[in-house]
Amino acid sequence: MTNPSDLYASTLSTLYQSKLTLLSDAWHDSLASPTTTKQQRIDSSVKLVETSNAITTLSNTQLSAILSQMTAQESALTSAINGVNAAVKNLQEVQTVLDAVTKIIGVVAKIVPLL
Amino acid sequence: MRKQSSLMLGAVCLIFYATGCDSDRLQNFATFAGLGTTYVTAFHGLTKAAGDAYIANSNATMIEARTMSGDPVAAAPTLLPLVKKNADLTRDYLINLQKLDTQADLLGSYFAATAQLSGTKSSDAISASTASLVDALKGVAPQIEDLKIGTNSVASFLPQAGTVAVAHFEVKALDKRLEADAPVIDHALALQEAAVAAISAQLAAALKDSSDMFEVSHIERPYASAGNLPASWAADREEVIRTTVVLDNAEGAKEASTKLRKSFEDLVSNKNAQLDLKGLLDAIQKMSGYVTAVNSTTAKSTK
Repeated sequence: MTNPSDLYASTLSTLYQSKLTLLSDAWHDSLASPTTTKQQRIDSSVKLVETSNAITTLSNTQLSAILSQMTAQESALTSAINGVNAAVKNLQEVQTVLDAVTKIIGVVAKIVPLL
Repeated sequence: MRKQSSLMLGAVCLIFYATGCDSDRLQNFATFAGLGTTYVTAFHGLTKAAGDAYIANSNATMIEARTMSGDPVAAAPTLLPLVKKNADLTRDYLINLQKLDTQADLLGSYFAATAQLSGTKSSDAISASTASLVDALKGVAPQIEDLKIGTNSVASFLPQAGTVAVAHFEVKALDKRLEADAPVIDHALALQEAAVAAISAQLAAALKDSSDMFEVSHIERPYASAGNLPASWAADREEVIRTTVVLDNAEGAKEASTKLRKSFEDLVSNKNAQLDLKGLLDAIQKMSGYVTAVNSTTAKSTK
């Protein structure tokens, strides 16, 4: 089965190759020929922009496909971030517990010699 | 009292045993999180370069099409709607890149939170609290200082006790988070890999196309025409040759996202893994270097 990213890459490459043909010296010379009509030159320029538009459309489709997957897991990622931030908070709570225990032990240290 | 001392000795030994590798692992977490943040910055550079290259390529194509038509006024009714459509599509492309930047920022937030969890900010406060606790324990059982671990007295370990305990708390918290988050983060990193591969390929293709157009219009046509060559001809040709060298480095950008994911997988799968963080740093630097070279090429091709 063809990998989607390979399909994008090969189609993109073909489109750029078509564009390169329209920009080649050979094509330029053929357009400059006296037998080429004004409409043919206009059609050629239209094809050039259409090819460029097809390239950008394909690029957008490829990025959109990746983006939709990213968006689909956005809430899971946000939840992971919140989880780490909560863990940071918990560590800060560890400090609170340690401080509290220290105080209690301090009190015990004063009482023990009296017992 | 003897039993109490033995229990304390056991507890202290257990802590030192359990936290033996904690500081190394914590250092790996901290470095990885820092490099993750650096990667996100480099990714923003890549998307900016891709956007600029697309705009430059779009402009060059529209100019070439206008020239090709031979009669811009006659071509305008057909050509202008397509030129407008091209502007819309290019705008959509920039919006997509912007959305990818936002997603990368989200991943950056995860790295920032991890850095905070493995960093020194919380460590210092907890370390101080733990040291106070140890002092308080000494108040209840002064003999703890006379106990031995191997040939060393517990007292000789006490100054480090706070740091060791903090590392243990933090590593436990990070491992717990990793266990819960690994599938999500790994998937996010896989999508990052896909995004960088797509953007790099699109960027390289746009750059090559711009360079080809520039070569035809600034090098080949003047060369094949009668009369003197333009004064900038040699410099322009040098620029085209240099661009091909930049294009050869496109793989460098992809390597950074691949290594970032690999480092994360190593961090998750093996607590004692020796991460190739130097390799990851080198790959991120290559990505940034590629972006700088692309920016320079794009700026020169639009002169």
